[in-house]
Amino acid sequence: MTARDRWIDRHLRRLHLGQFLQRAVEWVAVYLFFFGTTVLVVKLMVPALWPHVLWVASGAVPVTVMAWWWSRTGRFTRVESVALLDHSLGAGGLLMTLTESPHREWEARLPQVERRWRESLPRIRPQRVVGPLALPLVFAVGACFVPLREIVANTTVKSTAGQQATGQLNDLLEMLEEANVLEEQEQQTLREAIEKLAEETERSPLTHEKWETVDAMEQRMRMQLEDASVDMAQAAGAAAILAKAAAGDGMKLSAERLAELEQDVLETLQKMSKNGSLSAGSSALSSDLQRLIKNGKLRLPPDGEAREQLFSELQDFLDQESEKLSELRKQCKGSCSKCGSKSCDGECEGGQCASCGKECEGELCSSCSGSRPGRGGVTRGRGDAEMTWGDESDETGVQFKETVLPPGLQDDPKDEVLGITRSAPEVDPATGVSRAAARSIDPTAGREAWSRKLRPRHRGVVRKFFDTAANE
Amino acid sequence: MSDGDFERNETVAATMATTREESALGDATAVESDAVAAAGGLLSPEEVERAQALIGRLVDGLGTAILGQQELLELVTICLLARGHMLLEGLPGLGKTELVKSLSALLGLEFRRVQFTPDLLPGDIVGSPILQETDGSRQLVFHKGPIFANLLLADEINRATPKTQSALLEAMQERRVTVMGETHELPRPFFVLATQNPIELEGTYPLPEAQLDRFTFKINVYGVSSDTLQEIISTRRHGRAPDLSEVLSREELEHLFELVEGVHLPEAVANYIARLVNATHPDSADAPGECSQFVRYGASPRAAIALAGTARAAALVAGKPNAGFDEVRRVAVSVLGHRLVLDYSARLEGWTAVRMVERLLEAVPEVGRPLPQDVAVR
Repeated sequence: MTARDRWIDRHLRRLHLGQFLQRAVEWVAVYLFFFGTTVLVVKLMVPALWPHVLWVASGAVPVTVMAWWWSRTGRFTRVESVALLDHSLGAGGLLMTLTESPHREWEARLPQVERRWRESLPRIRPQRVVGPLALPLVFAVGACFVPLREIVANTTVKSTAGQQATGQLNDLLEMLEEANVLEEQEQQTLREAIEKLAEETERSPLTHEKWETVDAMEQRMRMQLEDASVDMAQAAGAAAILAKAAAGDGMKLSAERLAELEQDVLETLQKMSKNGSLSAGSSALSSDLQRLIKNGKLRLPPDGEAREQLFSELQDFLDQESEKLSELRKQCKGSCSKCGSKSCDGECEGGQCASCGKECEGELCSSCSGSRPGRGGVTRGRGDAEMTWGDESDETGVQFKETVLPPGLQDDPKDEVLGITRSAPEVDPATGVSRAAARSIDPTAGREAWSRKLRPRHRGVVRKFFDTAANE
Repeated sequence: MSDGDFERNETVAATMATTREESALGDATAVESDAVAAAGGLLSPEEVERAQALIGRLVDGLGTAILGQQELLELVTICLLARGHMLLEGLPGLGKTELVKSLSALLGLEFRRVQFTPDLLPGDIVGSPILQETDGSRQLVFHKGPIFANLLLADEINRATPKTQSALLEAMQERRVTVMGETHELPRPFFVLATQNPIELEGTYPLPEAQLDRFTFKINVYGVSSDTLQEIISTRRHGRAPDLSEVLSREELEHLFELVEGVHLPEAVANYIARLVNATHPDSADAPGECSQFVRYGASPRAAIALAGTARAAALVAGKPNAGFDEVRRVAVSVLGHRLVLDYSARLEGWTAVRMVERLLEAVPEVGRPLPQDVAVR
């Protein structure tokens, strides 16, 4: 092979390289667009396939091989390469002629300086390659950095979070059923609602609407428990007062007060009878109590001694029931994340948690502060205001139905609980607030301002204000 | 390039090859030149130099008669060496007839001149049988016309009728004439050098395409510069040209023909010629937009053969053993210019055949495959 042939081969190889690069750039550019689109689709629609989709990038190798194979189909021939080299050298066709018909004397007329041959070789211009690749490359790389879409529908979440929540509701309901707190119809309604919720969470993810439903049901059951506990404590207190009054222990009650107390006891016993918790006591007592509340009235024995004994037994029974419910309330509160105790209510005194006794960071321990409203943790509303979750409509898209809420100044039921003690409060029963009246405010009755209930600490001031000469 | 175009190129290239073979069969000179090509492959530098010297003598001789027209003289020489017929077009008084007369004087060939007029008959050119009494008996004896010469000057050829013009068809292509069923060979070499006047439209008969196609070259003769004009005024009394003597013998001319045959035409150049001619056709994929729009009929394979032959001759004039792209471009306008039939709309748009050929030369690349974008060549 002569030097001329070697230069021609180099020229031809350069041309083939250029052809391959051009073809490869075109194909790889298309492939990069395809890759970027695939990554985007995976990230936005099938996030589970990330980062396995990156394996698609390995397809660039077969694409390059195909580009090389494809570039071979339209390759420059040797004749064309010689023609181009001849033109570059300015040989006027002599190079073409000598490759076809060699001649020693004419060979000497070709350029002999190697530099001229080298300069005549085609130059590969990388910027022409980089230019068309820049945009697809940026697109492909950019697609890799697009954040993954959050997985909303996930089987794992569906099978754990949803079922866990409904499981907790079931546990709570069972506890309430065991304590005979709920009426039978209420139990049935709650059970059906929980079953429906559990069924839905199996098929679909636990959305925020369903979380709200779970919270509302839990709250409702807790409220039922709270109410039952309060009623029980009230009834126990009333029974204690009645027992003392029957014993004639220096306590004299007005007929109206007696009637109120008896009514409290009667209502509680009726509820217990309805729930079936009345049969939990001793059989003799329960039969006595059944007789006692017959026909919706409290039938008390005429004998004072028998009455005292009855109230005494009733008080013991109601105290037991009240304690049971108190225990149940504590259990329903959930366990402290720090101490693990169900009795911990997150109260901190000084540097210690009141119940768990562990070190606190400031006034409240960090683990317990979340359970108190208005302390910066996960709460159910602003400040001390508890959010009340009502029954949610299962109809989607229905128009909002207005509900008239009770007036906002109604006394907190907790205040009522605080006022009940084993001993009689030191207030005049005549001027005391009727608890029964306080509980039964009818917003539609009107004239609330005339019958507005006052807190005990405000009563003196109000009385003094109206106790004027003009009134007299 | 479409398959059809490729086949057409192949056909043109094959025709160019077989024409050389055909001429070798019918022409002793061609046989010799083939032998030269086969023996040495390429012309030797000495042969080329000797040919250049001979050609130089001829061009210089023409230069003494025709002043300031060096390009024209070289084109005439190229056409002569390619054994082609030539049509000179130009205004009166530019020296067309003088050029042809000078050529005949310098070559020492038999020269005849025919002034074409509307009443000229074919027999006036090719000759006619005359009843003649010989040895007491009368017989028709063919009297040769002026066409029986080496160099025929057909002056103002477009003033003759198409019937008379057609008398030249067989002579120009076959180099023979047939009268009353009798064929007479024309002397070798045989050239027709015709002139025509573009401005005398009254009483003229434009040459038909078939006639035009037989002219290898059509050369437009233009005026000269004022310096040349001053020189002509100074040196030529009464417009009389200097006496010219023979500078090239018949044998030397024959030898030059042989050498032209020996000039190598590389494959890439042949391919370029084929693509160039193919691009003149409006339905070709290679044709530029203007060609598709304005050209009605493109050039024939005969044009491709003429292009290859004249490119060879041009290479020899340039002192090269081979024809290159430059030689093809140099002769393309003269070869293709009169072979393109333009549409009427071309005239409205100001397109001429010459301008169209120049556009083709711009549009058709030397190599039929585009360079990759990322590759740059000098």
